[in-house]
Amino acid sequence: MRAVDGASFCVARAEVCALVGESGCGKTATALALARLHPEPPALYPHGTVKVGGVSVLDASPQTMRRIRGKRIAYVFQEPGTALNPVVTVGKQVAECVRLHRPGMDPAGEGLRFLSMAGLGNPDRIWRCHPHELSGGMKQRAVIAMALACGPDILVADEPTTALDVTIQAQILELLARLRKELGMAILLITHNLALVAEMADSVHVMYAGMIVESGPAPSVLARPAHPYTAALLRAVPRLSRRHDSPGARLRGIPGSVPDPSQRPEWCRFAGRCDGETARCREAAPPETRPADGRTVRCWHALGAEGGSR
Amino acid sequence: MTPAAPPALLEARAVRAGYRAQSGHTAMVLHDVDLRVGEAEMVGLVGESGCGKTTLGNVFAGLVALSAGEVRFRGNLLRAPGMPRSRRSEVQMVFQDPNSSLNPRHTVGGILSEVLRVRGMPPMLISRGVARPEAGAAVLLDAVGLPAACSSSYPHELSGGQRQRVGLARALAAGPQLIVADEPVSALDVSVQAQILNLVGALRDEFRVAFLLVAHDLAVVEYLCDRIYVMYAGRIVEHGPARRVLASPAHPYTEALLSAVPDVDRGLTERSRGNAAKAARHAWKGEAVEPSVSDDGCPARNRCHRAEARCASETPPLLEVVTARSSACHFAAEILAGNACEVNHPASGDVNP
Repeated sequence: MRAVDGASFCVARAEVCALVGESGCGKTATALALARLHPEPPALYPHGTVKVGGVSVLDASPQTMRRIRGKRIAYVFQEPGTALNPVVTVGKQVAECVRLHRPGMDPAGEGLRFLSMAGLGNPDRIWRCHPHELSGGMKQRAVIAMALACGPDILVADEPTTALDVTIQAQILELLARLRKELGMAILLITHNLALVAEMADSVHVMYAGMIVESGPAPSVLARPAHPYTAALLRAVPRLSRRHDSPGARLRGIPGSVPDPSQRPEWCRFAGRCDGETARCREAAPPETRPADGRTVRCWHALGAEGGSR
Repeated sequence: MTPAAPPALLEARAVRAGYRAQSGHTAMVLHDVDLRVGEAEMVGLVGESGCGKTTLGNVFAGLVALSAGEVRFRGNLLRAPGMPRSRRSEVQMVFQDPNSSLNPRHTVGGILSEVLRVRGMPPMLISRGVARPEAGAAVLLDAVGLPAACSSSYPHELSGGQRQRVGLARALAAGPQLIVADEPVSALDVSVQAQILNLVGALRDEFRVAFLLVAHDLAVVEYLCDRIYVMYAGRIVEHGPARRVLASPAHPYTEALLSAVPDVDRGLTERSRGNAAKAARHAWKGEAVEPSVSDDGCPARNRCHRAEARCASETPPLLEVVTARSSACHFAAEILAGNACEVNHPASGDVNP
């Protein structure tokens, strides 16, 4: 089964790149492949390459991988509770990262510095806490501190704020934006929340059924989606500033669900859920086209750059 | 401008409720909460995790006892201290996670017809000429947009969105006048959320059921709700018509919530103006406050961007700011005036000449 099928993208230094799509589209599978975090076996990487800072990941030795994981590419996941060891104090966990990834540095002193860099107000107190004594937002900051202690070039943030309250979510997003600016760290943001993409991503890749179906600069993709799937995702979220009174402004869900990886059709994978489907869509898979301004799209009937009528 | 308020269906007055710790100490979670839901009205209840919104919904449904105050239903006492916490057909619940709220060993048809057998056939089904529980289950499945074949499925065979539809059908089976829906879409995928939200709106219209929608997503509340209550640390800090409150809030916490919610349109606008997104945000500092902490002064003062010395000594009461809108802030009138000026659609009607 192909969880990810020919996804190509590039994240530049200090860039915020977003990967969006419904659950089961392959966003997390893609992100984990970047540092070969899928257990092998069963995971296989039959085609393609992943380069992190020029080093090819998929054929690297275990020793090389140990140097890449954490140091080059670090991860922050949705549920900070499961990313922390419940029986070890936060301080020890951060210090361990410093010891392993920054040899020669003082684990305690540096560790405290990373905790405060992650926006934890009272690092000395937090240092002695066990994870259960912290709130969700504080735990996520501790996880970010551990990631920072590794000094990564790219931080993969997989739904980093989905489990958090909106006010805390805003704080964490501001922290990520600040770290990117101050440290020049790139961020691969994995989310289903298009509003996060609109607010902080430079580029966006929309995934559907294991494939990237549309990519480009985030503002242009969200303002003028070319793929019907992107347009459908945008229509499915209620927006605060929109008036939903008129019938045309009603939310529209996307009927059906993402096809199972074992039952993906030979033709366009969005066929059957798409409202602009024609006979051609079930004849062959649409090739990737490049309409304009750094965008790519996989659709036989890509919506016009003016936004189309949909 | 505001349509006449529908007659009261549920009225909560000065409700207090809390949980007793093993030490015997009671942590009070709700502090003198007043809330009203009209007939067939869609009311939103928002606030951060731990502010007491789920506890309040549970008080209405009879899942949590209240320690002071009263809840009336159509004028009759429904909940009061010392009253048995009987589950009532009139008030039903839909929970966040349909996986854990449906019995995995029963078929969907079994889940629905059991309610009909135990509670009796509700008037809305009798008026549709339904007599047998199995026939009632089929009508309910159709009402929530599920194919009749689902009747013989087990919950695990359904998708998350389908399961939440079953959750709604189960609540409807008791013939309620009020459904407390606690975060009904937050466990669902974006593409499915819209379908469930539209279904909730349709069920309200079809069965004239009122909804208390407990949510943290302000856009969801604005999309569906007639009125909104904003809760902070176990107290209602602002309420009023949903559109007006969210277009021009009169409490700093509502302002902070609104500016914290990421929004596609605002994100794009701010960036096209060259602003770093979120530059104009009212940061709400620090972590959530325990509702059980109670002293003089405003419970929000330590995190508030407008707090002054007065806020530490005087607890602001919940007072009417303009018709149909109340706020528990010393500076409610100034905040409302400031926000109302920024609103670019004058139809919101909050500016009193």
